[in-house]
Amino acid sequence: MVRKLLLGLAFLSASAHAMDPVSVDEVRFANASLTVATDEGETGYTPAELESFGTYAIRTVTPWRETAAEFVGVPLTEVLDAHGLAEAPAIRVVAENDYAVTIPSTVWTEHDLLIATRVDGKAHNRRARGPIQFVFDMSQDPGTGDEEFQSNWVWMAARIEPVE
Amino acid sequence: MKLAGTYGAVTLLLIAAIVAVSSLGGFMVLSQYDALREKEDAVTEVTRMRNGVIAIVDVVRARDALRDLRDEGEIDSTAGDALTEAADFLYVRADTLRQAIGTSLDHSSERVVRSLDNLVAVLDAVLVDPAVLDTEAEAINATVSEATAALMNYYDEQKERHVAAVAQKTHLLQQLVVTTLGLILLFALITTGTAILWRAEYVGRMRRQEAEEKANILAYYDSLTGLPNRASFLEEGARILGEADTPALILLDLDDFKIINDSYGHKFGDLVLRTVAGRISHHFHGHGGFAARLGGDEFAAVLPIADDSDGLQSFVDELILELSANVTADGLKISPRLSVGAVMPHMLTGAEAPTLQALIRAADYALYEAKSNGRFRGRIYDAKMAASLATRREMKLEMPRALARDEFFIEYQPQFNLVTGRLHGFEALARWRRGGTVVPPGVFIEIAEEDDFIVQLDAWVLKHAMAEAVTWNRVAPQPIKISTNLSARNFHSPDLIERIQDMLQTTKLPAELLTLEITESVLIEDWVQTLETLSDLSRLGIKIALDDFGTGFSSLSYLRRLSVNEVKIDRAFVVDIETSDRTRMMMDALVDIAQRLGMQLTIEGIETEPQAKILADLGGEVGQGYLFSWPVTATEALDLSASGKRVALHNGTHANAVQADPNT
Repeated sequence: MVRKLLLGLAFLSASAHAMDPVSVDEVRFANASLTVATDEGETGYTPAELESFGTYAIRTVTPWRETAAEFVGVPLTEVLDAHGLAEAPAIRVVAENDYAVTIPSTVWTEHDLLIATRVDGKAHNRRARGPIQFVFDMSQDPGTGDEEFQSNWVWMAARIEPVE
Repeated sequence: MKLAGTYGAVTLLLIAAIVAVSSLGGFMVLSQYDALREKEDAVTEVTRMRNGVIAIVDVVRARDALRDLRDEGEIDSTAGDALTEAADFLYVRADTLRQAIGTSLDHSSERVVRSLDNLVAVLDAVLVDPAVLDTEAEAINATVSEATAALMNYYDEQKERHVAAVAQKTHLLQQLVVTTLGLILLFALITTGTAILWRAEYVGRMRRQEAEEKANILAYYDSLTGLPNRASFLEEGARILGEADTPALILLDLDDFKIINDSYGHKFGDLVLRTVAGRISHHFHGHGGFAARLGGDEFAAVLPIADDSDGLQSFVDELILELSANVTADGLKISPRLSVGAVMPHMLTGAEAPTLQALIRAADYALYEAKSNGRFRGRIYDAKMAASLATRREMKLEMPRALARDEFFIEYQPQFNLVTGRLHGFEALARWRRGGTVVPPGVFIEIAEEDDFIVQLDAWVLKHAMAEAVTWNRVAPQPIKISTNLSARNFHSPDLIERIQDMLQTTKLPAELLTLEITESVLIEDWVQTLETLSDLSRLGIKIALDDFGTGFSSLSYLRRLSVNEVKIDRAFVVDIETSDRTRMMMDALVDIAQRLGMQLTIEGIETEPQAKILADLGGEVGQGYLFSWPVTATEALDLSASGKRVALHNGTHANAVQADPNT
C-alpha cells in the first residue's frame, strides 16, 4: 500500500494536481448515493462506484478539523468529464439535508476539489460530514478555508446538476 | 526679489500643503478602505444566518422523524434511517456551528450549540431505546422546542447583527466617498491656488525683470541723450584707463548752454544737447573710446590711444571744430561751441597717482583754463594749471578777510560827454591789493562771482561810491553821475531793493545820479524775477545800464526785451573804428537804435583822438577811456569834479584831466 502510494506520488509528481492517485482496498460504505443529473438522464453513484473513477488522496486540515486527515476520493473534474460537464459554467450541488449551493467553475478549475469517500483509510460517515464530501486542500490552499468559501465544502452530497 | 520671496514662500507653503493633504488624505482613505474591507461581519452573518436556517430545517426533520416513529410505535428501517439521518445532520450542524462560532461563543450561539447537542443526544437515546419516546415524551418535546426557539433567537440576533453590520459598512462607505470627494475638492482648490500663485509669481518676475532692466538703464544711461551717465563713466572709464597704454581723459562743456535754452527754448536746447551728445559719442567710438554725459552740459570721454600733448591738442581742436557743425530745427540754427580740457596720465606730476578721479580733476583744470581763455577752445593739462587753480582757490578763501582788512579799494573811471567835453560822471571799479600786488579785476571778479562774495563786494563798492558821489556833487558845477557794477548774483538776493533803498536814504544821493551796470548774464536764469527786480530799481529812479554790449551772445535780442536806460558799447567796437567801415556802420546803427529807444549810449575804451572824433560825429553821447583819463582815486575824482574842466575834442588837443597810474 505504501509502495503503491509512493509509486502514485512518483507517477503524478509532474501533474498539476496536488491530489495524489492512490489505490484503495475495499471497505464497507454507509448507504449513500451521489446522483449526477444531466439532459441525458440521471446517474447515481454509491461511494464505491465513485471510487471506480480512480481514487486520489489529499492530506489536509478542514474548517472543522485542526489535525490533518487523509481524504481519499474522486476529483470532481473526473465525474464532470464523465458526464460532459467539464465546460459547465457552474454546477448546483444538493446535500442529503436539502442544503443546496451553486458552485461556479472557477472553484474547481482554480482549486483541487476532491469528492471524498474515505477519511484516514476508513469509509467516510455522516457524523464526520460523509459519506460523500466535497473537500479542498486547505493545508496547501488556505483561502479555501475562508468562511465565505465554506459553502463549497458540501457534505453529505447527494446530487450534482449543471447550471446554465 | 522681495516679490519672489513672498510668492516663493507661499508656493512652498502650498506645496507643503499638497504633500500634507496627500499624506493625510491618502492615510485617511486607505485606513477607511481597510476598515471597510475588514468589516466582513455582513458576509459572516449571512453565512451564519444561512446555517441557522438549515439548522432549523434539520430540527424540523428530526421532529418529523420522531413524530413518525411515535406514530408507528416501532423503529422500522425507513423510520430508523430517517431518524439516524436527522441525528447525523444535527450532529454535523452542531459541530459546524460550534466551529464557525469558534472562540466568540456568545450566549445565543452557545444556547444553539447546547440545544442541538441535547437534541442529538435525545435522538441517539431514541435510536437505542425507542421506549423513551413515551417515557420521556415531555422532555423530548421540550428539547425539540428549545432547539427551535434557540435557533430562531440565534437567527434573529444574526439578522440584527447583519443589519447593523450593513449599516456600518454603508456608513464607512459614505465616509470613504465623502473623504475622497473632499480630498479631490481640496486638491482642486490647492492646485488652482498654486496655479494662480505661480502665474502671479511669473508675472511678478517678468515685471521685476523689466523694472530691473529699466532701473539698470536709468542707473547707467542718461535718459535725454541715451549716452552712458556719470556712474557708467566712472566704471567704464576706469576700466579703459586701466587697460590702455596711452589713454587720454577728455572733459567737454557746451558753452552758454543756458543762453541757448533761454533764447531758443528748452526743446531746442535739448535737441542741441542730443545732437552734440550723438556727435561726441560717434567721434569717440570711432576712435575706440567711450563717452558719457556727466550732467547738464558736461560730457566726459576716454580715448584709449592718444598721442603726445601736441597730438592730443590737434585731436581736441579737430573735435571742437567737428562738434560746432550747425544744429538746425524749426527754422532755428546754431553752431554749438564747446570748451574742452584733456589730460593723459603721464602728465600728472608729483606724488599724484593717475587715478580716474585725479585725471578728471586735471582735465577739469584744463577745461577751466579753456573757459577762462574765452571758451570754444581746448586745453591740454599742464602742471601750471593746477598751480593757477590753486592760487584762485586761495584767493577765493582770502577775499572775505581781505574785504574786512580794507585790502579792497575803489578807483573811479571818469566819463565825459563827447559833445560838450564836460565831465559826465564816474564808473566805480573795485581793486584788490593783495600782498603788495594789485590783482587784475578780470581775475578776482570772476572768482568772486563763483559764489555770493560778489554780492558783498558789490554792496561795499556801491556804498562807498555813493558816499563819494554825494561829496563830488557838492562841489561840482553840474550833476556828477556814478555807475557801479551789479553782478548777476545780486538778483538772487531777496533784500537787494531794500538794501539799495537804505543806501540812497543813508547817503542822500539822488537816485537819478546812480546807474547800476548789469551784464547779459543776469538774464540767464530767471527772466521773470530779473525783470521784476529791474522794474523795482527803475521805480526808485535808479538808471540801469547794459554793460559790455556787443560782446555777448545775443545782445540785440536782450536789448529788445529789456527796458534799460543806458547801453555801454564794448571797447571791441572802438578798436578798429578808424579803419573799418563795417564797424563804423554798426556803431552808427547802434547810436541810431539807442536814440530811437531813448537810451543813453556810453562808449568804453576810447584811446585815441580820432576815435573820439569819429564817435562824436556818429552821435556818440558819453565816452570813457585812457584818452580822457585813467581811473582815479576818490580824492582825484573830487578835484576833477570841482574843477569843472572839459575835455577838448575837436581842436586836436585834449585835456588829460588827471594822470593816474592804473596799477597803483
